[in-house]
Amino acid sequence: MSMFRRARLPRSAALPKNPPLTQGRHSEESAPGDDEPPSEAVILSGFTSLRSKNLSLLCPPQRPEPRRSAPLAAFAALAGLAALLSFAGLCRAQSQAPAQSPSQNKSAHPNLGRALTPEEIRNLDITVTPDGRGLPEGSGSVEQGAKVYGEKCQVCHGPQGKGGPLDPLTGGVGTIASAKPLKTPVSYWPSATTIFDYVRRAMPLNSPESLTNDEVYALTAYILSIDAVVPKDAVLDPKSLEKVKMPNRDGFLNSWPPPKH
Amino acid sequence: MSQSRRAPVEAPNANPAADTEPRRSIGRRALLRAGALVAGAGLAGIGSSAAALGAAQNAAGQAGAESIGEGAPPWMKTPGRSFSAYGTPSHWEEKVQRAIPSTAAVRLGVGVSRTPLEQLAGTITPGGLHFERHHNGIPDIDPARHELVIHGLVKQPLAFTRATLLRYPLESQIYFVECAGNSGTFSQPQPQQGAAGALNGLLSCSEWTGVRLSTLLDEAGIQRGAKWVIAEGADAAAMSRSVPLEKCLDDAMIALFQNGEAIRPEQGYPMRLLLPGFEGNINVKWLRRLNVMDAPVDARDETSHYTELLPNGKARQYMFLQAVKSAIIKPSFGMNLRGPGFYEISGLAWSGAGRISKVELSTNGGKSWTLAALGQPVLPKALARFHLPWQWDGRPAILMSRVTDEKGNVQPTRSAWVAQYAPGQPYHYNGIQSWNVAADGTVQNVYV
Repeated sequence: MSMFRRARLPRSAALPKNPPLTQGRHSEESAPGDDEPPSEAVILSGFTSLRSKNLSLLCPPQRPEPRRSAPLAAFAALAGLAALLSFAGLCRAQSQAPAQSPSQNKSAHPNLGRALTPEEIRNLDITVTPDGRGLPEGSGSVEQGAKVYGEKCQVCHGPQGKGGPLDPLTGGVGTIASAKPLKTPVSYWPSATTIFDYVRRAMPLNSPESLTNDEVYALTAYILSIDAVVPKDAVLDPKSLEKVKMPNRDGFLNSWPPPKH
Repeated sequence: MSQSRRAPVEAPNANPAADTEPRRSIGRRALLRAGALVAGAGLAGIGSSAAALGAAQNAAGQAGAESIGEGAPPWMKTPGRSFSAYGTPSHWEEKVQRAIPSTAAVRLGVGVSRTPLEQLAGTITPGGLHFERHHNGIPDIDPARHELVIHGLVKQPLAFTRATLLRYPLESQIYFVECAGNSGTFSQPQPQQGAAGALNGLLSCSEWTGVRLSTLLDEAGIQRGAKWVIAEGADAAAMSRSVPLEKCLDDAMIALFQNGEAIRPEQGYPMRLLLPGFEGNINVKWLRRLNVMDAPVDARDETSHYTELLPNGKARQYMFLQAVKSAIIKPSFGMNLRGPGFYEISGLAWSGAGRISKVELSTNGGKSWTLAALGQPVLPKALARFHLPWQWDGRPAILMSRVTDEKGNVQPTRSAWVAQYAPGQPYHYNGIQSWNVAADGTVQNVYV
């Protein structure tokens, strides 16, 4: 429906300013760049004289797919050629389109996503990788962590990370290959960044998203200090956390992709 | 009047052509007369047409109304209740509920509830009985304030609301979702006694409707070097998993509907990631963010959980596929047989690798096997229902099911499965399960 409505607009206004179809795509932060294909007007300029409002109503133009220039250009060339031959030719070219699968038919792509600004992404992106990418600014010491732990974590995880009603945070180092493995961050988790990441995104259970980055660094330092993965006077920040070597760091086998059958 | 009495006693096909028109007109007249009678008696509204029909039959010489009278059940003697805006199951079935373990009380919204498989039929799980796994409760997400963000190694980061995604071409597919920890008690040294749902109920199957993820990734434009997609939920745990890009470009879906209605809050409203055949946890619910990256991130739920510990202390990570598996649901623990005679053995079979090709059943502990019938259609990465009629002779029997999928994967024996792993390793159990039927008809979980 909106496609037809758009087709009736003056061509100069049709593409860039039509909100439902180009929502946010051409925002100030993402002005059309060199990697974008020519606009509809450019594509269709080869047969402008053949094209009227009625024609576009009957045969809605294939909407250019902004970042897929090669297949689009090929299709545009085909469509343009057909249009030059005759009006009927254009319609036939389009009526043959269903022979393509929906995923191949780029013109069927809705392209309705709202373009995001780098700042919006910065505010959302809390991904942290094992090699330290994504770790935010901040720092915290074991001592500071012990204090936060006593206030916010001990009730569930117990004093010094054990004996609480929920998961123990300590112990089990060296038990993983034994008959009774005890899986804890220090005995099992391969990456120290996982502790930071998980505490930041999910802890404490009753008030997640409430800790500062400094508190999360401090808690990570404290948890790692219980089993002496870091010394008692350790201060963790993006650089030092990245360098922490977990005891079981070589304990995992990446099994993706699985063997082919 | 005389015509109306005569009509029923005529032989039905004595003279069909001549008889048709008069009889039809008689019926109409009788109905009208009966309707007037009923209205005069003060009855009106919903009941009147049914009453009119009864009166018409009576007037036409049939003894229908009187014969129903004495022996009729109470629900036939009074109008039923009226319409409801959203229906609920019969109150006679109120015991058909998800099983919530007692530990959930301690951890509130952290843990699981199980689908009562032994109470259900067919292959589709009702929305309200789909198993649950939450990491910090069920968020109440305002769809107008929720966006799915795709960013990272893409040419143009994009955001999609539910309303936006509803404008995309939607596809519907029937897929099972199974928790990686389903049937984990079979890794324990002693067989646990529980209903089929208690042992295997972290398993459900729905028709999911949504947008192909590849469509959205294509729109954002994947950059070179992209290999993984980090998915993140909008729950209070911001649950996160690393997903192979290959899967995202294959049959992955952003699911918006479940069995025809908006996806339930427990299953990820307003949208979830659906990765057919992959372990439940990675099908991230309440999906808010997909970060396209070059490597996985060692998220908590792909290190502390859902990794397969091997006997040598190493652990397999990023094992996603729910392997070929089956379980006999009927009979199972709690469904004791009432003496020798006919029983139907039935159950569920599925494979994360594709379609089920055959299910074999044994009633003698695996000494011999018989092909079971499969309910149609058998769909890839969906539950299939198998059936086999069985005459129980009253002697002890051990019932087992063994499934093969279209890729040639065969369900292993329990002992073969257990031998691969460290003791008690609970994830991705797909070994054969066995029910022992004792001479007195009691059914128990046994290891063969």
